[in-house]
Formats: sequence, C-alpha cells, structure tokens
Amino acid sequence: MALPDKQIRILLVDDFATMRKIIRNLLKQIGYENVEEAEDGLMALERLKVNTFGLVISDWNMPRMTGLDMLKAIRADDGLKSLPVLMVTAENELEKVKNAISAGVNNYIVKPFTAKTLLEKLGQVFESQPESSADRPGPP
Amino acid sequence: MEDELKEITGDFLRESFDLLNDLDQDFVRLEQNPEDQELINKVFRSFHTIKGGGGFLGFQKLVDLCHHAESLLNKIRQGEMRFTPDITDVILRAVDGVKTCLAAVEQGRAESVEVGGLIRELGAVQEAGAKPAPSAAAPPPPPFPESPPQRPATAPAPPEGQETRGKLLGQILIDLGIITEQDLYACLAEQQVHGEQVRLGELLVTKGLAHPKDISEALRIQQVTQKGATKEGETSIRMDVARLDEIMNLVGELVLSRNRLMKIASDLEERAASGPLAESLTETVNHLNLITTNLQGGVMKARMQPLRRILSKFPRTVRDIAKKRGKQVEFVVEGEDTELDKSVLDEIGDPLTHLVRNSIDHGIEDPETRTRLGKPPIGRIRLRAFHEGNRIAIIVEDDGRGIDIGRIRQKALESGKFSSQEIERMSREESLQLIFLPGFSTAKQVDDLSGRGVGMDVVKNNVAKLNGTIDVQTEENRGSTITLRLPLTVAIIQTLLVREAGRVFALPLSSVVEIAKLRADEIRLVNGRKAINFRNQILPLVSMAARLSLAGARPLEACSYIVVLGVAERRVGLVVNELLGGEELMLKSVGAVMGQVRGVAGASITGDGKIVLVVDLPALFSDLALGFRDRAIAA
Repeated sequence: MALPDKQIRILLVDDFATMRKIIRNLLKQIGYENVEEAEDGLMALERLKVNTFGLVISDWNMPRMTGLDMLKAIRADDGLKSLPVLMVTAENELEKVKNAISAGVNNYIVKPFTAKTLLEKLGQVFESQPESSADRPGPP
Repeated sequence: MEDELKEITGDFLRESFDLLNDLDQDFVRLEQNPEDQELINKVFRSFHTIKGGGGFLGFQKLVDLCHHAESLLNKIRQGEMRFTPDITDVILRAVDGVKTCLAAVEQGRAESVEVGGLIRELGAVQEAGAKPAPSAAAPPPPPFPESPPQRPATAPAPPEGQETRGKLLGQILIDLGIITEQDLYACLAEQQVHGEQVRLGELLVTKGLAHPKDISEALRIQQVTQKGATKEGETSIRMDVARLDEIMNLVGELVLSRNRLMKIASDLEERAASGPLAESLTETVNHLNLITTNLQGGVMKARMQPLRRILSKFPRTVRDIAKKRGKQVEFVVEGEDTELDKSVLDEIGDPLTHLVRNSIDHGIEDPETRTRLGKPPIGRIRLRAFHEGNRIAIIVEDDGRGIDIGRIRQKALESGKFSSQEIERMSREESLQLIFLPGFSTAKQVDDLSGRGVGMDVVKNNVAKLNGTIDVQTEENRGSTITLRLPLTVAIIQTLLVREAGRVFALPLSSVVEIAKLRADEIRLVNGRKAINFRNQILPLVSMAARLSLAGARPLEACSYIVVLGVAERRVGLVVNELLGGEELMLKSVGAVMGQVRGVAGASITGDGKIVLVVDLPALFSDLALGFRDRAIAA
C-alpha cells in the first residue's frame, strides 16, 4: 500500500464542524496531523489558492458549493488538476458519487467509517497516483 | 480518547440543536412557499448532517430516524411528492423525535428512545403520497440534485442575503437582474483572453452592459455578504458561560473599586489638596473610569444574545396551536435582533410563550367570527422588541377580541374573593389587573395548551423576579397589547440610592417608574391604608422603614419623596426620606453572612465605601395585600 507521507497537508471540507472534528480525529489516529479545514466548496477553493495541499477530503452534500461542483472546479484548474480528492459520502448518495468518478474523484468513503478504513482508502488513493488518477476509481 | 469523544459528542449535540432550531422556522416558511428548492435542500441537509455525525458516534436510533425523514424529504426534493400540511406535521414530529433522541444522548441514554412509531409514520406518508402525486405533474428530478438547483425562471426568488452570501460578482449582478448569464459568460471568456488584470466589472462597464453604479452596488453586496459568511464560521468561538460569569464577576469588582477610587479622588480635590500629584491622580482615575466602562460594556456585550435565540421556536408554536384551535394566525416579529443578557433571556422564554399562547387562545377569534365582525379572517399577533434606555421593551399585541372586562369581573365574583360591591367599585384598569391573580382564568375550556389559569401568574412572577414591569392595554374587538419592560442585565445593575432611617438602600432603577414629592395633605386613608391619588390611580404608599422594620423610622407623613415602583403589574409608592442619586452596583449575595433576609436581594459597596443593601422589591411586596380590595374601596 502506497501510503502518503505523514507530513502531507490535507484539506478537510465539511459544513458540519463536528464532522470535521471527527475526521480530523480519525486522521490523527493514523498519524496525519497537518490538516486544514474549510466549510464548503467555495471556501475550499479559496484555501487551495493560498496553500499547497497534497489531498482533499470532502463531504458531498454542502451548502453554497457542493462537493461535486468543487471537484469540477478543481479538475478544471491547471494548477490543481491532479490533486487527489477523497469524497466522503452517505450510503444513499453512493450512486451519485460513483457517477462523479468520471468528474475526477479519486475515491470515496462511506460514512460512518473507522480509522482503519480511512487508512486503507488513503492507500488506494495514493496507489493510483500520480498518473491518470482522474479516471481510475479505487477498487470498490 | 475518552475525553475527546465526550468533547466531540458535546459539539455534535450543540451543532445539531442549532440546526434543528433553525428548522422550525424553515418549516413555517416552507408551508407558505412549498416550492422553495433552496429551503427544501436546507431542511434535507440538516437531517442528512445529523445522520452523518450520529453514525460516527454510534447513535443508531437517531441515525434510523434521520434516515427515514431524509428519504421522505428526498422525494419532495426531487418533485415526486409535495408538501402538504399533513406531511409537514409528520416531518415536524420527526424534528421533535430527533430532538428527543439528542436529549437522550445528552443524558447518556441514547438507546432508550422509542422511534419505531415515527419511522412507521414517515414510511406511511411516503407510501400514501407517492400515489396521488402523479409524476407527470411533478417537475423532473435534476440530474445532480445535490448541486445548487438551476432554478426555473418561475420559481420564487429566495430571500435576499441568503442566496447572495459570499457569491461571485457576476452571480450577484445576475441576481440583481442587471446582466444575463450570457453577458457574464461572454465577458468571462473575454477576460480569459486579456488575462486577470482586466477586471470583470470594468469589462462590463466598457461593453455597456452595466452602469458603474450597479457594479459598486454589487461589490458592496459581495462585501457585506462575505463578511456575514465568514463571521460565524471562522471568527467566533464558543465559550463556557461559567468562564464568562467569572470575568463578569471580576469586572463587577473592578467597577466597585473604580467607584471608590473616584470618590476618593473627588474628596481630595474638594479638600483643595490640589497640586501635581492630586491632578495626576484625577487624570489617572478618569482614564481608569473610561477603560472600566468600556471593559464592562465589552463583557456585557459578550453575554448579550439576540432575542431571536428564544423566538426561533415561536412560529412553530403559533402554527401548532392555531391549527389545533382552528384559527388562522399570522405571526410577525420585529426587532428579533435586539440583544439582552443571557440570564434575562433564559427567564423570559416561558412568559413570552404564555403571552403568545394567550393571544391565540383568548384573543384571536375563529375565521368565521372575524369575518362576521368585518375583520380579516387571518388574525395577527405582533411581537415587537426594542431598547428603551437601559431597558428592553417587549410588546405582544394581537388584533383579537380584547380582554372581556365584564367576564373578568364575573369570574372575580365567582371566585368568592371579592364582594359584588368591591367589584362594582373597581376601575377598568383595576379590573384588568385581576388577570394576574393566581388561579385566575376566564378560559371556558381547560386543556393541554393554556387556560389552566397559571399563565398570567407565571408571567407576572418571572417578570417581577427580573425587576421588570408589565402593562396591559385592551380594547373590545380591537385587541390587546401587553408590554414587558426588563433590565438589559442582571449582574451589574443601575440603582437609585435612597436614605431611610439613617441607612442607605439601593433600589433597582429598572423598577423605578417615576419620583414625586410627597405632600402630607394628599395622603388619604384607603381601607385603613395610606395612599394618594396619583395620575388618576390610587397609589398605595409604603414606608420603607416600616417595611423593613427599621428602628428610628419617621412617620410616613414626615418623609419627603415617593418613589413610584413598578413590580410586574403593580405600582407602589415607596416613601423615603432622602434621594441620594444613581449608582452602578454589582449585586453580591449576602446569604453566607446573614442568611436569607426577606426583602434584601443582596449587598454592594458604594463609591464612598459604604455597604448598601439592594432591595428585593418583589419579595418586599409579595405579602403586601396591595390588593384590589383596598384600591377598589378607595375609588
């Protein structure tokens, strides 16, 4: 499993502060502590302009700008094109998120998940890096 | 780990309750505007969010309930079903169910809640609703329902400010109807060619698509809304109220020391001890005064919360009661941003609910009656709040039938507490005050909502506890108006210092209605008690010295001033010897030193270093048979 470097800077996008805290906490448990947060897609794009990130973990359903629209904007941006994006989703959104893989999501993870699952997903995301990440979904 | 989980659970509960409190209002708006996609999405998202968090924390019942509410809402969102009052009812019950689950989590018994019934109801509505709503009539579901809906041109525009929050300039201009989407894309394409140094606004102006004024207006909107968008998210913190109280306490002590220091400095000056040293002392004290005042203002502000916090559940309450009563009520709130101290706010939620309930139950008539009377069928209840000097005024008014004075008198007679003679002599105002008597209710039916005769009594007690006042006005068939006046804060209070029998007492200024000179020849005996006729009302006089059983009290006639006090609905003339002026004091408990003393709310230290007792007016007058008996006979 090609795990990302522990120093990698991760952008966590979710409109629910508690959820950001939960995921941040899970990331901490598997050794990733360089985490920044954004409340929605728009804010995330702002953050991405200012700082360089190695991974985005984003919620799907958010006000103002959804995870999908954010993803499209990332993939349309020359500088961010190949930035790995892991989409957090609920069971009943799964179909839509799977569809979104064509829009360039690297992988998805279904809520709720454990630290162990998160670690596996990170491995999958970075295994498929660096080339042609955009059209390769992780193994289901 | 254990602590972290506890903290996260705490955050989860707080954030979820916030979401739910917003929901109540959203639903009432949705009922009036069932096609509002933006709102439907928001409601859907709230359940979705709570479900997500609950899943991680392992609250299975909460997750199940949210899941079923969510799938019902999803159908509505995708146009497969429509909002009807029945569906709204079920979803509102689901909101309550989620609240119950969260409360159970809070009490550490997450799994003891029964949600099966609600889940079945949610399922039943979905099944029933799927049939009568033919999919042909419903708009086709958007390909990606999660993305902001491409709103059809016919859909109602969402409220200003929500939609434009933190938006891009082009989008704002489109929303304002200044440019079209095509204009925007054309300009954006051109901008790409020129590179980023050409601004979109300039481009639009040069192309003649927008006036410079429009651009600056749009930029202003963008700025304002962006500020609003980041304000809550990034720059605010939550704080334990206890910590804030501690700071407030220290500021209170600082205020007392400041008062003392100022007194010393001015005494020094008076003794002509002028000189560079005294001057610089005065200067420093003045500066300290300024800082202390600002600091106090700042801490007080931190404790202030908008009235909206407790009003958010009102539209829902009004809706539920009105529906149950078969009445139609429009509920209007003005001044919900008016701020007051958290501890005051916590106390007035119940009284306000009672007042609004009373308006629906006893004030607003049913639509048929209203039509017969030539009124619009929909009744109107207006809740207004505004600052009035150092107090906040909250007014609840309705355009209903008004309070039936005849019935109140009838009821008073039936209670056996008053003779028919006494009742006959009561003025209109005096009769109106009968509604504040414990156990007094003119409601014909007694049920779960109101009409148990506790309403106005509870209102009165809560308001009196806060050193507030109540005024009632009513006009037959035109409606009633009830005005509460409350202090903005409770910890540091403005007081009026009075001297009586050689001792200094502090009266809460928020209870002082006015001050008048006492003229001995105006005093009359009313049923064995001294009173005067004051502004066409009988004002009972009370000697403070006698009330507190102070030694060396002068007879009432020998005193010089009447301080007219409002204790909830009552007015009392407190007779004092000397008025000393106003002072800001921090209320300190005396419990540890002298135990519970009736009529004493606490103590404080004045600028000249004296300890004064702060008078607890409601307690002082609680046993006073100020009653209508005395007043009535005098009339």
